[in-house]
Amino acid sequence: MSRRWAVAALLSAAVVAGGVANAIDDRYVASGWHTVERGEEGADVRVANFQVHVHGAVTSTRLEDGDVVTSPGAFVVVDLSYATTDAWDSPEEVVLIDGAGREFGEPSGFGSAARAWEAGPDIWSRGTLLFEVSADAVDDLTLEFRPQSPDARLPSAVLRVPLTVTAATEPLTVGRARILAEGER
Amino acid sequence: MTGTTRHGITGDSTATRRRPGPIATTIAAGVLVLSLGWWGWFATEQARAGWWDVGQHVGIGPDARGWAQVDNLGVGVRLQGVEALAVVDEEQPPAGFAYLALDLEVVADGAPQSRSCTVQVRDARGRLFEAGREVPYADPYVSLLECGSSDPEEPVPAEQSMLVLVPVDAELVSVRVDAIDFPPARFIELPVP
Repeated sequence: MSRRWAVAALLSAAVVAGGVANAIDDRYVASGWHTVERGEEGADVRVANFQVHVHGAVTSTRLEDGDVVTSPGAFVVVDLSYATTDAWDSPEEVVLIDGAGREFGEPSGFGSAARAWEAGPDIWSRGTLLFEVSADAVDDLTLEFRPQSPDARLPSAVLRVPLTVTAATEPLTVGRARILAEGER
Repeated sequence: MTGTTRHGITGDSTATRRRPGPIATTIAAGVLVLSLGWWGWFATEQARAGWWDVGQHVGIGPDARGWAQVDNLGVGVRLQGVEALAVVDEEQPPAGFAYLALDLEVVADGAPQSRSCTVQVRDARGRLFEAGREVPYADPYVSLLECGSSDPEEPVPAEQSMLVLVPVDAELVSVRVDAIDFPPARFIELPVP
């Protein structure tokens, strides 16, 4: 009789294991399986093959883009530095996410240099990234740094850093990234 | 149901069922392991092929004269010299870095095919510093190594020099040369003297 119970238990365990695997596949693998690393401003944080240091962010409704342009929402310029650990590479994407889960990517149509740049192994470069967000999102923004493109078949990691966004009185400007001296951020 | 065996041992009838011997158990376990191994190998074929093909796994080293050749493409590269420079065209590297000048000899006598090669310097920590990145644009340095030409009238320059930005404390090990049409997983690796 005890052997029957053992067989029943093994069968039940197999069914449960299959159900759990199916649930994991549905919820994570099939929709992008990633780990979220959490960091803070003013500190070096490592995610995948990148090292990231977020300095801060400023916001304004106006942007110096050849002419001064005005946003119906708000422009946000994030100041950050990053390097890799292995070879020259650029992150797949850097986005802002607000408290409601809305995602703001790199805006198009602006002449300002604002795209994520390539960085070298332990060769840090510092630059700015431009975003345009809804006015009500400014107070609760998190930067999400995505080293790789999401692939449903492979686990990956993203970095989230909550931003302290200060208001600027002047129109925002965006500059090209520059290589930093050793030890600088 | 209980009973008595001919040895006089009383117990459940199932307990008297003949168990497989150690040889049969070993064979069954071996078949199971082999089956699982074959299945795993089969299931990961695409991932393994992709990982192998796109990565640098098989280095082609230099011969006695210093030439490393990709035979089926007719591409050969030799490292003539490596020199760290503090200034290039009046431009200094950021503090803590140096410009490394690589002098390379190149032959491309295979089928006419326009091709540029990426050049990286590898250090003892496995870091790969790519030539032509964040370095001054100055003669005679090129930002891409020309290692194939589609025009027989304009063969690839036999001698080409490149600059690489490297940390001054990097312990440089080798120069890697690679191109998109090199055989899968293969790259040229030349030791730094």
